[in-house]
Order: sequence, then structure tokens, then C-alpha cells
Amino acid sequence: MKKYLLSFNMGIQNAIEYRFNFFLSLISIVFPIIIQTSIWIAAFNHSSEATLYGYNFTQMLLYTLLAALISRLVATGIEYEINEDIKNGGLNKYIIRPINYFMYKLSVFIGSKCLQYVVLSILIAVIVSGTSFYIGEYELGIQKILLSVFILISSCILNFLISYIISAIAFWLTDVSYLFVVTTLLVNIVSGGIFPLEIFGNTVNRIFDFLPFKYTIYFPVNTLNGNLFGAAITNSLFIQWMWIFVIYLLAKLVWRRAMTRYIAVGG
Amino acid sequence: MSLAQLLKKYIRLYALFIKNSVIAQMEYRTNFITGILVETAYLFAKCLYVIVVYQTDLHIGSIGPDQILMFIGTYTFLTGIYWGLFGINFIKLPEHIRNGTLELLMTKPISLQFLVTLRHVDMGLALPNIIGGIIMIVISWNKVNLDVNFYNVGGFIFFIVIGVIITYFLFLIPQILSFWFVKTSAIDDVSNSLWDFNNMPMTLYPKWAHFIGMYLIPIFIITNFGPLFLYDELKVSDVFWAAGVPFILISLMRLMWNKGLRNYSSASS
Repeated sequence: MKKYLLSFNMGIQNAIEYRFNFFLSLISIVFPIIIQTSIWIAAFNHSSEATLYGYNFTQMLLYTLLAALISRLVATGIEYEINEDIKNGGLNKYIIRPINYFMYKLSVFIGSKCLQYVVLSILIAVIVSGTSFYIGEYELGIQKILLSVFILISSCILNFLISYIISAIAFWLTDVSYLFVVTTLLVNIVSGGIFPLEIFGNTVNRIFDFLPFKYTIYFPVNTLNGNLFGAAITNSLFIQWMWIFVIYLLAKLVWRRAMTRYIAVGG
Repeated sequence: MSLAQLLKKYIRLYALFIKNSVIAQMEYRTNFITGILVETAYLFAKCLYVIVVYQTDLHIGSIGPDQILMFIGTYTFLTGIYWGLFGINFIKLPEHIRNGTLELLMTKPISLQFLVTLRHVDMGLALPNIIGGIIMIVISWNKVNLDVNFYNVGGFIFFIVIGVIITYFLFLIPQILSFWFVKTSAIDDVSNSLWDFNNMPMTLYPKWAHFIGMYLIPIFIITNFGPLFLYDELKVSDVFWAAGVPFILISLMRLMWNKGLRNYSSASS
């Protein structure tokens, strides 16, 4: 256990070392927020309906803000690191040492997310409580706050597992760093990271219901903006954890098979 | 060497750069195909905006969905030009500075800026956006019932050319900062996000953003002026401003480039 605590600590140190880059990268999410907020303001101004895609004006603006922040929070980038380890033989040292590669990566990831989690949670809390206080459209009790904290942590774990399983492609294909740009973008879109999933229509949404992606961004955002409540949150949370277990088992299976293809370059 | 001879030399060189890049891409087809895949995914993301514009019947002042499509099309087309011709070189500049490979390029008997910023052309990154952009422009042109005459087509192309020139200088400036800073990925993120502002008509944004995008960081001139010209929404002063901005940016960029080069400390020696 101690080795994973040390890995966790390494993740924190890494995040602190590159804190300036993280804060600067926060600026880059302000721009898409401004673009999308402007679109929704114009759309609601022109529309005679009180809701668009099932969201009222406040919920839609909250969706835009929170989806951008939560996208940043759950983002992993581990695909590129794992790809490097596979291509350059970096994986060798984890095979011969008494350390589990998955647990090591997870510990570093959780450690590296601590600083981001604190900063982004404060931002999310300010946005949600500010909206709740000034507009008062929904209640924000301690129960909901604790539930949201738990859901956000679960979303990070689920997205980590999705990235971990996708990164195994590097065992089969020669150069996949470009491909990971595609998978990251597509996963973000089908997770509801750019627009609410309702824009895809009912049929496509029925398909999304059977996939894990919406439980990484769409679900926490709709919990926080008040679009989901009561039993719908509990049901979604149950499905979210079901996906965490399913993908964990699937990832173990895929990686066991993938490791038989590993040629240990430089080893 | 006279100016005409110099120009001829650089045009010939650029043609060679294009030829070499195309040969390299045909040799390593996987990179070419993955480039197409990446940009097709981004094109799909851009199409989400088109979906929202039409589904919500978005109107920005007098500009309706069919007209907005012209802005998104122009933005998509210029994204292809930007990444295919310039972007691929710009992101390599910080690498050259960090790894010290810049000094090898300095020894070549041609302009260093020309060599570093125009050496590679990526057809894979360019094609999906250029094709997607042209399709959107043509659809919008038809739906808005714009005349296909010399005035409209010529004026639109003029503003596209101005947009390409501004893009080159405006987006090279952030990369020059890597002469002073080591880790610049966040600078890339910020400038890429700035680029996305062009996706929509500038009148969508608040007045302060409108002002910044027109005069301080003249991003809106790149893709907004072409469609605004077609819709007869450009003032004469805007046209003069658009024609003058490239000269201001060239001066600023050259100033920073020369200062940056003086600050360059060879990493490998």
C-alpha cells in the first residue's frame, strides 16, 4: 500500500510543479464558455419557448459552465503516457518490479487530480450556490453537496477507466498518438462535454443510455444544475458504479490479452 | 537580387516544400490517414454548432441560420488552411527552441522565419476542413440566394486572403513566446480557443468582446468580414481597417521574432 501512497504523492507533486500550466489552461475553457453562453442567450431570446431541449435558461447556462469545468476535471491524458510506455519499453520496469501498473497509474492520476479537484470544486460550488442563492430555482442542501462530491469523484474514476481501456489500442497499432486525439474528442462529445446530449434526438439518446460515457459529464452536470433529482439521481449513480465495475473487469481482461503482444522494446 | 527575383526564388522554394510534404505523406500514409481522422472528428464537433443553430432557429439580429452557416463554413475552410499550411509548423517552433534544432536551420541560406513556419504542409489536416467548409459555403450561398458575380466572389476571396494573412501573423505571435517560456502547451490551448471565436458572427458576442476581437486581437476580421461583405453589412472604415491590420501585425511579429532570436540560448551547445 505504501508504494501506491508514494505514487499518489508523486502525482500531487507533479500537479504542483505544473500549476501555472493548469491555471493558464483554465483560461482556455473560458472562451468556449463565452461562445456557447452567447449562443444560448441568443437562442432563448429568439425562441418563444421557455425551454430548449428540456432545459430552462438557467439550467442551460449552468450546463454550459459546469460541462466545461467537469470536462477539465475528468480529463486524464493517460493514453499518451501509456502509449509512450508501450512504444519505448517504459512498461518493462513495472513488469519486473512488485508494483501493479494499473494501481500505479490510478494512484498517480488521483494524486495529480487533487489540486484540480479542489480548485474546480470551489469554482463549481461558487457557481451552483450563487445560482441557487440569486435565482432560487432549486434547493442546495448538505445532502446534495455530499452527493455531488461523491458523483464527481465517481465520474473521474469512470473516465480514468475508459481512458485506460482505450489506451490498450497502443498494443495493437504502431502509432496511435493522433488516434487518441480523436477518441478524446469523440468521448467528450458523447459524454455531453460540448452540448447537452438532447441535441442528438431521442433515438441516439436511447443508444447513449446503454453506453458509459454520459455518466462521466452529462450525469454530474444535470445533478448539479437541478435537471435531475430524487430517484433519477440514485438510479444514475447505481448505473455509474455498475459501469465502473464492468469497465474495470473489461480493462483487466483486455490488458491481460494485450500484454501477450508486448515486445518490451529496449528490454 | 531584385525583389521580383527574390519573390520568384521563395515561390519556387515553397512549391518544393509542398512537393516534399506530399511525397512524405504518400510514403507514410498512416500519418496522412490519421490526420484526416483527427480533422474529421473536429469537423463533426463543428457540425454540432450547425445542428444547434438550425434546431433552435438561431437568429443574431437580422442574421438567420442560413446566413450563420456561411460564417461556420468560412471558419471551417480557414481552419483547414491554418492547420494544413501554418499550424503544423507553428507547433514545432517551441520544439526547435527547446531541442536546439533551430541553430541547424539558422545556417541555411534562406529566411529562418520562412523555413521554420512554412516548411511542412499537411494535406491530411487540411482536406476535411477545406472540403467541409466549401460545402457549407456553397449550401449557404444557395439558400441565401446570393448572386454568383465578380463583385461577390471577388470581394469574398479578397477577405479570405486577408484572413489567411492575419491568421499567419496573429497565431505565430503566441508561439514566439516559447523563446522565453519552456512549457507552452497552455499557450497553445489559449490560442486554439481564441481561434474558435470565429465560428460565429461577431455580433453574437457582447460589445466589449466585439471591440477586443476587432481592434485589439483582430480575430473577427479573419472569418467574419467575408460573409459580412456578402450581406452588405461592412462599413468602408471596416474595409480599410482590414487592409491595414496585416501591416501592423507584420511589424509586431517581426519585432518579437527578432527580440526572441536575440534571447535564444542554443540548447544543444
